[in-house]
Amino acid sequence: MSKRIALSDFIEVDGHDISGFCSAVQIHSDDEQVDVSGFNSSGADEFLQGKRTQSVDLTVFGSYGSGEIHDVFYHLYRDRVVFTFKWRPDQNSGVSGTNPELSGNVQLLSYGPGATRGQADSFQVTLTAADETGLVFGET
Amino acid sequence: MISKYRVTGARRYREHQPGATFEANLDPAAEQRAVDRGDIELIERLQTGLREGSYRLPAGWPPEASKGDRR
Repeated sequence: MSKRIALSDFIEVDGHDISGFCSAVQIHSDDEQVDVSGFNSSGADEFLQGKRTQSVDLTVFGSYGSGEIHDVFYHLYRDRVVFTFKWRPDQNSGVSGTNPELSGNVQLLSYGPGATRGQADSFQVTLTAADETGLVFGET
Repeated sequence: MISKYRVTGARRYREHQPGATFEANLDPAAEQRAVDRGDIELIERLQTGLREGSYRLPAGWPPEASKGDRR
């Protein structure tokens, strides 16, 4: 697999293509490290892999038109909606082994648009996995 | 229920291009949000099953004895 420049990522929220309003995406999937250490001759710790927490950080451009960022995210946050999320590296190709798609049901637990004078209006939203399905990569 | 929709927004909806029509069984709340955002419009609800007159039963079916049996 060759290296790539991230230019044509596909990002869909609640069925709505917001790729053009996103400039960064970062997936987080972290397992709790549970200490199950007992007394032993070496003194080394022993761990088991515990609860898994998954989330996605998106950097989005603040935009307030119909069907744009605020219209999409504010209502999802206000109404405490669980909604679908998808991301794959290349929007010009279908899902495949070389263009895997991350998908799952997520929720928006905080919403804080903001702006800085003279700069592009952009802010970060964090989508948190909402059910036992989690965020998983599919290749078909 | 499966329904037929048209993408009315300026951006893709569930990977369907603006102006395209598609059939899907959307969650009612997700459908309402998409309609409210102007992403899609409902064209029609698609009935599943056979329409009256669109099929023929085999000759002699149903048997005469079972006609009128409303048990």
